Amino acid sequence: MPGLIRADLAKLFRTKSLYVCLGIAVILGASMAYLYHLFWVSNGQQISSTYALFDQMGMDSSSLDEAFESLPRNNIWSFVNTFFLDGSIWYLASVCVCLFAAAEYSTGTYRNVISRGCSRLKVFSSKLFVSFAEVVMVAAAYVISGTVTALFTVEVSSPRDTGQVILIFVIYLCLFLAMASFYMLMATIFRKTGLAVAAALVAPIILAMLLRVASLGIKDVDRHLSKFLLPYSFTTVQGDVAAGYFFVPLLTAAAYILVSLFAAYMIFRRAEIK
Amino acid sequence: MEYILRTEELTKKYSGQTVVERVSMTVRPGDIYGFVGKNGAGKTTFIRMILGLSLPDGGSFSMFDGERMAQARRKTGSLVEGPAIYNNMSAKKNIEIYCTMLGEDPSQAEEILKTVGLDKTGRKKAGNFSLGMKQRLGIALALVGDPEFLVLDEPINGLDPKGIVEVRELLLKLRKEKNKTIFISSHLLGELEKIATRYGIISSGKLIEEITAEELQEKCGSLTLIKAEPADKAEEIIRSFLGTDKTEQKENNTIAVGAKVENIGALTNELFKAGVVVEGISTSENTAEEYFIKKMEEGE
Repeated sequence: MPGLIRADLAKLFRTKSLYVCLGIAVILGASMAYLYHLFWVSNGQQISSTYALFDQMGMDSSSLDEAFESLPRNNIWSFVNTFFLDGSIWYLASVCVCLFAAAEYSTGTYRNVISRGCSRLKVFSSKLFVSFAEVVMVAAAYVISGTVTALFTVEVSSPRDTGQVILIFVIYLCLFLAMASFYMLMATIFRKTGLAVAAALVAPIILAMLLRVASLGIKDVDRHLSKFLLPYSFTTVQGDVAAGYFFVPLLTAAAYILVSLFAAYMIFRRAEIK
Repeated sequence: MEYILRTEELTKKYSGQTVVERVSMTVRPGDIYGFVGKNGAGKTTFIRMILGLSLPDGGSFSMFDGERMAQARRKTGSLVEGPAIYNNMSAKKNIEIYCTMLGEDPSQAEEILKTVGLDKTGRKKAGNFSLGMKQRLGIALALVGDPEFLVLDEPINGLDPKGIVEVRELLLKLRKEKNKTIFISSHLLGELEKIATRYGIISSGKLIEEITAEELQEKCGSLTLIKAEPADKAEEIIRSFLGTDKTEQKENNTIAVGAKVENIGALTNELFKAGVVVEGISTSENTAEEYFIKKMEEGE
C-alpha cells in the first residue's frame, strides 16, 4: 500500500493537468480577492451615501446602524466564505481528479498492478488517497492565493474562537474528501477521462434538480433537501458552524463519502480491468 | 514443482455467450507454452482470467502447485492486450514507478532495460516510442521483480521482422538463462512453432488439443503416397525397406507413408523386383501451421 501511494503521488506530480489546474486556481483565487475588494469599495460607498442622504433629509441616520449591522462583515472569514460561492473549486478539482483517476483506465495501467497480485481494495484506496490530496492541493492553491491577496485589502482581525476555526477546517477537509470520493465514483463508472470530467461537472446540476423535486412537498425552507447538495455545503459551512448547525455539512460530507465510495468500490471490485 | 498453471473447466460468458468453454490445461515448469488460436478464439479472455483481470463464470484454476493466488501472481509477469505504459514518462521511469508500486527495488530498471534492448532510450518519452519499442517496454514491465512465470499475449503483434526475431531470441534466452516458464499466445503460428515446447490449440473457446513440440513434429512430418498393386504386398515391402510401421492403406491401392522417403528409386526397384506394379508416387509436406489450422477448423 505505501508503495502504491508513493507511485500514485509520483504519477500525479508528473501530470500536466495538475499544474494547469494549480495555476488556474492561483489566478482565480487572486481575482476573487480583487473582486471582493471591489465589492466592499462599492458597498462602502453606498452605505456612506445612504447615511449622507439621511442627514440631508434631516432624518436620524443612527437608525441605519442596526440595519447595516446585519450585513456580512468585511473580514477575512467573510472573504474565505465568499470564496466557495462561485463553485470554482468544484469545477477545477473535478477536472484534475477525474483526469488523474480515470487515466489509468485509458492507459490500461490498472491491469499491470492487479495482474501482479495487488488487491483491488489497496489499488482503489491508494487512488482515493491521492485524489483527496489533489483536491486539497487545488483548494489550498485557490485559498492561499486569494487570502494572500486579500490580506492587503480586508480586515484581518476577526472575532472567531480557535475551536470554531478548527471545526471549520475539519469540515472543509471532510467536504474535500467527499468531493474526491464523488469524482472517484464518476471515474469508476465512466472509465474515460472526458466522460468522467463531463459527468462530474453535470452531476451536481442533476442532483440539485432531483433534490428540489424531492423537496417540493416540504414547506419549511430550512428542511429543504437541496441544503444537502455538496457544492452548496461549501458556501454555508461558516454560517452553519456559527449557528451551531455544523452537522448539516458534516452529514452531507458523510453521505457523499459513504455512498460514493461504496458504489465505486463495488463496481471496481468486480470490474473487467481493460 | 509439478505445475505452474492448472485450469479445470475454466469458463467465461459474456452476455450469455460462452467465450471460453471448460478449458482444462496444465503448464509445467520450464515450458514455453504456445497458446494457439484464431482472433476471437478466447485466448485473451482466458489469459485475463488467470491474471485476475476478469472473473471466471465457471471452473477453477491454480498456480504454482496451489500457492495462494496473491503470492502466485507476484511471481507472474504479464503483457496483455498491448503494453500498458505511461506515455509521459521515459522507459526507465516507467519501470521505476512500476517497481515502486510492487515494492521492488527500482535500481533493477537499468538491467531490465538492457535485457530488452531499451537501455539507450535515455529521457525519450514512451509516447514517442515506435510500436516495437513500446512492445519491448511492455515485456520489460513484465520482467520487473524477476518473475518465474511470464504470460505474454500476442507479444510480437505489430513488430517488424527484426523486432520479431529479437523478441523470439529474448524469450529463448529468458527460458535458457533464467529458467523462466513462458505462456505465449499468438495467431502467428510460424513464430510460435520456432520457440514453443508445448502447445494448446483453442478454437471457439474450446481447448481442442494439448500437444508437445515432439508430438507435433511427428504428426506433421512428410507424407508419401504410393499407388501400387497388390497393396498388401507393397505395404509389407515398404515397411521392411523403410524400417517403419507408419504406413496406412488408403483407397485405390494407395499406401500412405508417414515419413519422408529419401531413396524413392531404390524403393521402386525393390517393389518391381517383388512383382509389385507401381502406378504413382507423390510426396507432400504437412507443416505445423497446416496442422494447427486443420485442428482449429475441426473445432469450429
